[in-house]
Amino acid sequence: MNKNIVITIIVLFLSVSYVSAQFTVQGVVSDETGMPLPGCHVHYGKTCNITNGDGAFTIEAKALTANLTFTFMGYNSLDTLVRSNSSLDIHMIPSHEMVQEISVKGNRIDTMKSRKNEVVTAEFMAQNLSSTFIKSLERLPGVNAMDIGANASKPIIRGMGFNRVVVSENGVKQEGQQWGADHGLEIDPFNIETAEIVKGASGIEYGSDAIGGYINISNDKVPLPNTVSGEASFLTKSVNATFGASGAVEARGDKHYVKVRASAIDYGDYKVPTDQIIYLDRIVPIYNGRLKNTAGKEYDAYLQYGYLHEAFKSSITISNVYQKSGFFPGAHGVPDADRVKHDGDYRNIDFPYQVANHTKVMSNNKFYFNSGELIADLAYQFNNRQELSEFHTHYGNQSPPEIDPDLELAFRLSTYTANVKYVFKETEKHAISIGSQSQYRDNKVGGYSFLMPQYQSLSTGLFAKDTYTINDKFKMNVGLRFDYSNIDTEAYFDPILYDYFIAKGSSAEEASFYAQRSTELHKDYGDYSWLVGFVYEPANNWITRFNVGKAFRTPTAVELSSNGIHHGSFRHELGNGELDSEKGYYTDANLEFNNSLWSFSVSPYLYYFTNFLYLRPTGEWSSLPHAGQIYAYDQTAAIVSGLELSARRQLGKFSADFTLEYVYNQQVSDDPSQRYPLPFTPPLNGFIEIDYAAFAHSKVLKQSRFFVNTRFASKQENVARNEEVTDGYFSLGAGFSTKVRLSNKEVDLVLQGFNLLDAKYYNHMSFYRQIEIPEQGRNIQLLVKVPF
Amino acid sequence: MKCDNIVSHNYLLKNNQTFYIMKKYFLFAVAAMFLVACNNDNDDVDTTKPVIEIIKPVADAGEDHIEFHQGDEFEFEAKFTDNVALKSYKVAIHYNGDGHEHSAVVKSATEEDHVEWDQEWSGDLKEEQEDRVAFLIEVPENAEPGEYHLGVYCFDVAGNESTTWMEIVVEEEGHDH
Repeated sequence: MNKNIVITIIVLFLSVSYVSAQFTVQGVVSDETGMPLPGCHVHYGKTCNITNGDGAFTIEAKALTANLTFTFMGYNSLDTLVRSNSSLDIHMIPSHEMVQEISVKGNRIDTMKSRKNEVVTAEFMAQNLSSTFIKSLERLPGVNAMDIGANASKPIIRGMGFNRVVVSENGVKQEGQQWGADHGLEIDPFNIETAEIVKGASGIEYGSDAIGGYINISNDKVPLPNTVSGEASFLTKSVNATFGASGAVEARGDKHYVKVRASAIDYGDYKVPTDQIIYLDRIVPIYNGRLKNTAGKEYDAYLQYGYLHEAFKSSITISNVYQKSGFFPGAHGVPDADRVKHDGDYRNIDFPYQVANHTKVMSNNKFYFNSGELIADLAYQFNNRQELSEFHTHYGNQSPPEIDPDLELAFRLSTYTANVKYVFKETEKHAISIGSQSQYRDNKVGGYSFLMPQYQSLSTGLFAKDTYTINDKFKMNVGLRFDYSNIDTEAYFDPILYDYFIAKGSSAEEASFYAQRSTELHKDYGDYSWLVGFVYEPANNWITRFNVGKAFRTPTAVELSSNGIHHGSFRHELGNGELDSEKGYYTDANLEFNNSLWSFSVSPYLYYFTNFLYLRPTGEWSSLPHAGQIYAYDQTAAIVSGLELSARRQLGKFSADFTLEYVYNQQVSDDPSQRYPLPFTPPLNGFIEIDYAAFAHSKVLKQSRFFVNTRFASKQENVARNEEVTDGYFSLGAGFSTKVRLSNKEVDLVLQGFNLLDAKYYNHMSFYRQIEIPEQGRNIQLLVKVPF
Repeated sequence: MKCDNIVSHNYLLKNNQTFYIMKKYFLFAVAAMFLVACNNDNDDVDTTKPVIEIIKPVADAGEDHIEFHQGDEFEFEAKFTDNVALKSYKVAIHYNGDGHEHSAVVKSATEEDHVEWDQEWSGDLKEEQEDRVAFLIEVPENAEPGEYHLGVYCFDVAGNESTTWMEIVVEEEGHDH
């Protein structure tokens, strides 16, 4: 990583030594309501001070003038020039349209970025905590969750998921098995301080995979000086008898700080509002309305140590997420009534099940210089996902392995990340940053089954971007990125499969085709992505944005080199070593209006992919047991377009929220009969909530509100070949949330119900949709958060 | 941003003209994107799966499987229909090992000359809306007794695929129920 060193050296030269003190600047930073903002960063030259518990700060200026910059996550940064001893009263203004729970008044919008982002806070997470972090984000228009069971989901943004969305923590891309339908993100739902969600291609800064969007979780908030504080959270759910608890303690002296968190979640089989499912013409009974073997547990631990210096801020984080969850046995193999019989225990995890363990070590560093700041993040992640199923085989000649006889599949992915970014201090006209992102991945596999090849991959991206302020109302964003990556996949020849086909009387050629489960490939990919965007504020409270750009991603090892039955989808999937990198041109726009009574936002978008990678049914039978036709990875021109709407109206104590998402996509072809829709496309869907602010004068209950909401979706008939049409639905929810004031501390209480009508409906994006399993039944949950 | 912008204001729209101009500019972009999105009719796209009906063999009323003996011969017949045009079918018989106690190890306890019956038939269908396939299936003399899946697959000219299953149980010769 020579270039990283070069950048570091350049940056070090940019710093200059300081002169002696000239005057003192004191001040208090508060938010738009006048509440002090502790933990606000006050940048002066190459130092960064942090406001104390009262929002106060003191700076010894060392020159004739002092240029101070105030920054705080979720707020617009603010510059000021001071010439003499002075006492400042700084009011920060929220930069993002926070989701309305946080009852932001006079909320302003980020006028720097041409791509609209949404920020959710720990409070949003508490208010909306659903089964998983991603599921909790579903109320944002344009964000959907692809689920498997109760506790695993991954994001779909603008109808794009898998490797087309990047999720990162503290700027480090989270690596799991994003390509797999039954993989969920390994993230502790209790441990989200703030998260930023960007819809639309965001590849310039966040990595070329971010074609559909980007989610960054920031867990780098610094505790207040000389304090020790903590928080305990408890969660319970009726739908699967969940008991969850999480405890966090953070402490800071002056410069050193530590944050620790441990979480445990245990849940049983979840309830579904049906007593049978009909799959492949077979009736599969659901005993006592509970989906067998969907119980699970999760144990997470998190430790962060940080050091604050005038010239830098540095933290090291170690985290581990362990998830064990059962698969509905009817979902593995041909449906069979015997396997779904109630076993007398709703909390046991029997075969088949998955265990995912994600270990991460991260070092996040920020160095302050007169000319800007250098951000360097290093990380190592180990993702170990295993699927266990009592040894079974379709091949009479296969015997169970001696070690781990029931380990069906194992994926052990090690990822090394190094990101370096230099953010130049904003001038009146420009806000420039440059950086590089490098990643090395090494994937090993195990188990008596085979799904994907072992591979090694190295990728590096270099980027530069600028926000050019043309005038008060008009800004332009430009970005350019070059990515280079290579991938080496390892060959795997399955002698058992070869012998099976020979014994069946197949030719050696045919037997070899099936037995060659993966091929050895050395592929190099390199491409540019770019973005030109505009932000225009035609009037106060109004903002418009417009972007044009190009995005691309490199194919995955599975897309390039796999060959065999994907036991989840029951399909024989065949990789294609000839795939190019997926390229798309996009344009999107956004119009937003915000004041204290009203807000609305409209965001249309359109992508044109020259080669969208997808699985094409070939019209050739596979001879593998239980397989239908072969599905081959292929590329096609395609368009993806859609519209997101959101609106909010405040009316006295009431407020109403409305969001709507529409996605349309299809393959592009001269032949009208080949213009198939793309798979996993969200139907027209939306969310409506009505809130009532209660007990405004209560001394005990603060920010209390009652709410009623509904999530709805229309019928999805735009389906890919061999994807099911899914009916529309309407699901009702309601709840009450408040903060109970107990001796200077506020205890958060959120009681809410989901699917109150116990409606039977299907989620088009759920993994279990394919086998006709409806969504979870009525759920009442209670979350209590006690600070100490 | 400069300090003088800090004070928070709640502006209401004072200027209808600004709003009008902006609306025009924006609506143009929206309209352009939607013209592309909506100017597609995928009526020509076929995503309807063919339908498979197994006519023979049929399980007795109240039974979920059919029993045969080693060496038996039975008639198989299926009817395939599609909204556009059929293309190909496959019939496959496999030993049901999934999720049961049967595995390569357990199986060796039974007679050594028994093998798992594993057979496939496939062929093209008439590229029409309906076709039938019928042939005789012979249970091998040395078929491992136990439960088997008889799967019938079919896809149409567009690649839309259907599957249906039935269970058949092979009894040992001379073994009566």
